Amino acid sequence: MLASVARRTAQAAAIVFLVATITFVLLQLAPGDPFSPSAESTRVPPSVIEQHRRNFGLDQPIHTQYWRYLTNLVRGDFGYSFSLNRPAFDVIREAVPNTVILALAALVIDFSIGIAVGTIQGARPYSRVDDTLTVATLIMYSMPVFWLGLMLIMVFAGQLHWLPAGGTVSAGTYSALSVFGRVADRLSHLVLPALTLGLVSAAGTARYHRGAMLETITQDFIRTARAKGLEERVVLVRHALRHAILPAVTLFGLSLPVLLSGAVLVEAVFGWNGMGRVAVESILRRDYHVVTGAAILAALMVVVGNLIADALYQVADPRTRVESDS
Amino acid sequence: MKRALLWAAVVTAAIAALRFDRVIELLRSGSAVDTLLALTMLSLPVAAFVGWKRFSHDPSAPPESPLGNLLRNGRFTVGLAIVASLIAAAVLAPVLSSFAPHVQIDLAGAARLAPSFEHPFGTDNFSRDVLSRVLHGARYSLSVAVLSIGLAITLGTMVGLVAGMSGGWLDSALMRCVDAGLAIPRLFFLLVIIALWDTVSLGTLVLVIGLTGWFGTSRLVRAEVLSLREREYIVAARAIGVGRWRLVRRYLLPNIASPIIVTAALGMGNIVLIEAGLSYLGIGVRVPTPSWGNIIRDGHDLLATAPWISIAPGVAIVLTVLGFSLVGDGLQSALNPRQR
Repeated sequence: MLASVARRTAQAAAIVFLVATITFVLLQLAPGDPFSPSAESTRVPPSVIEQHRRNFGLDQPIHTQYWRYLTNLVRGDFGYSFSLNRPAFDVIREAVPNTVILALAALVIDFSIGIAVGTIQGARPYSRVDDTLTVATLIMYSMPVFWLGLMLIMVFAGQLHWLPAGGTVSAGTYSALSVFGRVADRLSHLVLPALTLGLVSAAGTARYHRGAMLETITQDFIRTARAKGLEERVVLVRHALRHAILPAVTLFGLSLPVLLSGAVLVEAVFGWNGMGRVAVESILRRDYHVVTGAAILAALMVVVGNLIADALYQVADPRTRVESDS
Repeated sequence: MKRALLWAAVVTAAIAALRFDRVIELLRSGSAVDTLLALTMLSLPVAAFVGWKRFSHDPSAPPESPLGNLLRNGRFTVGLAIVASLIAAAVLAPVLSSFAPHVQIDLAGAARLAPSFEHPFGTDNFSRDVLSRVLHGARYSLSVAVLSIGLAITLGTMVGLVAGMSGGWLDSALMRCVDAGLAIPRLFFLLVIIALWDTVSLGTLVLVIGLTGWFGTSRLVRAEVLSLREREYIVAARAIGVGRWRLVRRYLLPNIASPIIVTAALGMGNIVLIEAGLSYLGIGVRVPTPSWGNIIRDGHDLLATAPWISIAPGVAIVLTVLGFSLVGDGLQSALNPRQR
């Protein structure tokens, strides 16, 4: 068990290292550097530009720069945000909790709705209920996440006025609220973005889980459970679902990158102050280091998420535990 | 299928009749492209009708052929119908739309008009006809998607073949890179690239989306190659001295083509969504060039007063992705009966 954990952690570290290398290569391939003379800055004397390059080590040979870049990353130095005049890491760090909250809430919605729908479909395959839900999940699956967000805003914020249309907290009144009021305020802002992100991924989870249920339901142990006279509900929940839910654990690891990509768009739609929004806004301000830093951090989240999924899988399925030990 | 062709004939004939004045206008314009488009519009109902006639005379594809199987697959036919209509709409955009996509009809009097007979999808903030923009947007959205998926699938197949055939350190090096590529959420990856090359033309956009989309395909192709490599017919081919290139081209590729085709069909929808997302963020296809994503962006701030601007392109995206998913699903069950 310990050996396999160590091996997987080493693999994860190698992936993070490669991701960092890819971003470094991309940074080098990009035309010019932050101090290349542009149309607006032709009046800056070349000596000043040279001085800036020297200050940031851009005159060093490439392998020295690469080594410095890697050691800086390890120390949590993601470079500098030139437009905000602060370390890039600080800019991103403030946004990380918001993205994590959004992604976790979306994950909960994704898996609870996805598995419920998949189970209902798998219980009565090819029935009218199954067909209707299949069409519904297919349409949901095809929906651009940002468009769904806009439509939900239109209905729930625009027409019904039930929920706020965007932001992480109510701008004017938040500081005047009690502790309980603040939590409620944050939650009400979270509902729509999390629902948007969660529903789209739930469609994929439901499709996947339906397949797993169909495979399970024809197996011998289900027939045995039915033959010994168990109620259908018990057969489904205690026997079939328990078995069919295993592949969903792997799905958790796979859905993370998709979820984080979706979060970029959802954050843009709802003005949710997360990593994606920070990265998009930094593009418009040409703040490379914030964008690359956000990408590396997002990749790190994916890798850690996959490690967790692996561990969960070993907890859930004893067979894999024995296998990886041998 | 038979009924679908009859429907196609009726619908295209109705559209041609409805837009007859526009067809004539294009025929008279003298430009070769416009004339060709007008003739295409006129020939579509005829072609569909002839196809329907032929179908009813001889029951063409024998029931057991793969094509016959495909055409009797309900999902595939529905998907194919959706995709074919969208492609036809994109190609015939100048015939179908009454306005050019950039034309601002009347900034003061015709901005944000609700849907009407003259403007079926309304007009936007700059008094441009939304239907015309959506139809022309289809041209950009679909061609970006088709070209990017072509690039991604080609690259992925090549890398997968090299990794699977060579094995050893090259294989593990390539696969570790694929792992890393898959670990970066796609949109963040694209943001980094676009941030570094700040002017993104349509060509660069295709390149960038294609270059970040091949990881999954290469992993799939490599797995297929590994499982085929030890098969007897491959070993036999090697034994009689078939060269490497010929082995790949004549023995391997035909046998891994079907999962690749399915991946391509399923990937199309995904790429349409990605392009739409980038354009929505304002960093993909840039205004004034219309693309579904940036039309939705145009309507973002007008959701309360002019929701039709964002609704129409969104529905177009849903239909496209749905169509390609159905085609992919259908192909999968027809080409890999094992996984049915």
